[in-house]
Amino acid sequence: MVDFENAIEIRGLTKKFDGFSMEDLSFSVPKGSIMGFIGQNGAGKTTTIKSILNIIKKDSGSINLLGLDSVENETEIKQRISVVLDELPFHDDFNAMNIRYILKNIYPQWDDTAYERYLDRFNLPRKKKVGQFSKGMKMKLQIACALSHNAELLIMDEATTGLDPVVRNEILDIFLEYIQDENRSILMSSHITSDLERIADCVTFIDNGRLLLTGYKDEILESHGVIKCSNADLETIDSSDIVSIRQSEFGTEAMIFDKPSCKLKYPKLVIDNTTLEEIMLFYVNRSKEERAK
Amino acid sequence: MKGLIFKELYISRKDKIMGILVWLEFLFVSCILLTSARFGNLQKLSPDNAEVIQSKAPILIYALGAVLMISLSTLGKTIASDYNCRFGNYIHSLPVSAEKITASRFIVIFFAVAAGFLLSLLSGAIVCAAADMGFKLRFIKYLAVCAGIVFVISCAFVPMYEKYKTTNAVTARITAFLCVIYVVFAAVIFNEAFDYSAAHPDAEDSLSPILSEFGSSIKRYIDRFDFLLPIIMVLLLGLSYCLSVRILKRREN
Repeated sequence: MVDFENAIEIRGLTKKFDGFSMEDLSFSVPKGSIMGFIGQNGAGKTTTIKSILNIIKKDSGSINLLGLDSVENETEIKQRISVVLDELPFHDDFNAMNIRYILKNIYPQWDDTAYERYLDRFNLPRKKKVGQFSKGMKMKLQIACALSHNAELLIMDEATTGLDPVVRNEILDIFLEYIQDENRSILMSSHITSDLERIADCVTFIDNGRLLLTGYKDEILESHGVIKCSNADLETIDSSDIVSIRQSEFGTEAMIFDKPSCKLKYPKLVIDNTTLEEIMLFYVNRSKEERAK
Repeated sequence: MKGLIFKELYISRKDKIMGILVWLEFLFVSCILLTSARFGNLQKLSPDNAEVIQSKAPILIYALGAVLMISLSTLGKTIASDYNCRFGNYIHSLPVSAEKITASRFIVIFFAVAAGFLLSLLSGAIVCAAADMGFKLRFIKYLAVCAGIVFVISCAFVPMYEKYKTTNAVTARITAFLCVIYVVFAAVIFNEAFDYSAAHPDAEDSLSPILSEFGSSIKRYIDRFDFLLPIIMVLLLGLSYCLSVRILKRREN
């Protein structure tokens, strides 16, 4: 088996559609980590995931999964990865046992005991048709399927969207358990940044098919900050330190991307900590301004 | 591939059961008709009816076989429902190749047609018994030909469903295609009628001779077709397989 540092390595991914283009996207998911893949609706998250899975053909660039080329070694890679979509991709007529039979005959490393264990843990009925399942139950069943064949990489596309906080928490705990084995990695696309803030080790922000930011979550949160100030104070801040500015009737907020140096540079200004959601909003705002220019 | 075959069979099971029920109904009505022509009211009505109806028994055998084989082999709804529930996309994240996906669909169609063929033989035997006639070897031969044609045509639908993804889209295209065939057919009939009228300006009833002339020209084509049919069928099957694999590999743009 090929030794690899990054579970996913994307270099210069380009894909053009009518009205949308993904330009030169590059980022990697280190082995043993959870990567949060953040962007607003239509930012290109699903396109990136589809390209990773070779569901759509990329125009250019390279994608390596588990140290192997995603196109040349497609079948081998797909035996070692799992995909969780935002909706259960099975016919409503199936029950959990039917789905087990299908996947058991597709994945060589399928583990019946693990599947049964997850069904028990999630309290999922075995004979009930999945069409009668709630959204939470469907997601849990999908996760049970994804985790029952010893996958080394879990790719999730908006898996927690539309779930209530209790189910979401339960599912996030399972992901944290799954990642205890350091050979396993997760790429989790979502626009619910609070989920990613809780479990992600790294984050990648994209907007309009372009990479805005990628790196370790803690480093990003530590380096970014929000300065709440008056317009007069804003003029004292060097524009090269600012990601973007948000102005309202109550004042001005500016996001800076190098908090430690800004603290030294502007000792009189208060720099607040920020969240992934705010970082996303400010970066998207900057991206919009740049496009408008 | 076993998992995929199971999936196809499981999703289409209700349609197949419905097809068998309709076939049983047809078989039942046919048997009643034939028995009545021999012993019942139809025989009393006119003694010739028995002979006439008995002569139609082979058509019943073929019709029953074709209806059953067509209804069992239809896989379009299954493929459309795969795309509807997003399995059509999800399958590309599973370790199965486009060749295996297509092969599994063709295998399911093959099994369905084979089952339909065996049941058709059974229904043929029942119809023959009801019509008081022997089950002839040529019935088996023609039913086997029918099974082959149904198999190939059902397989030819697979790439269409892979491409257009919904039953409505495929139906619309097939209807359009049939309309073109119909127009060509009507044009040929019109042409035959025109030629016949020109040759026989005094004929009173022009329709029957036209049709018989048209029938004989069709027969000439069929005689040639008899030789070409296996070749066309094998080519069509190969083409359907290659197209389906290609569409699955091309995926979305």
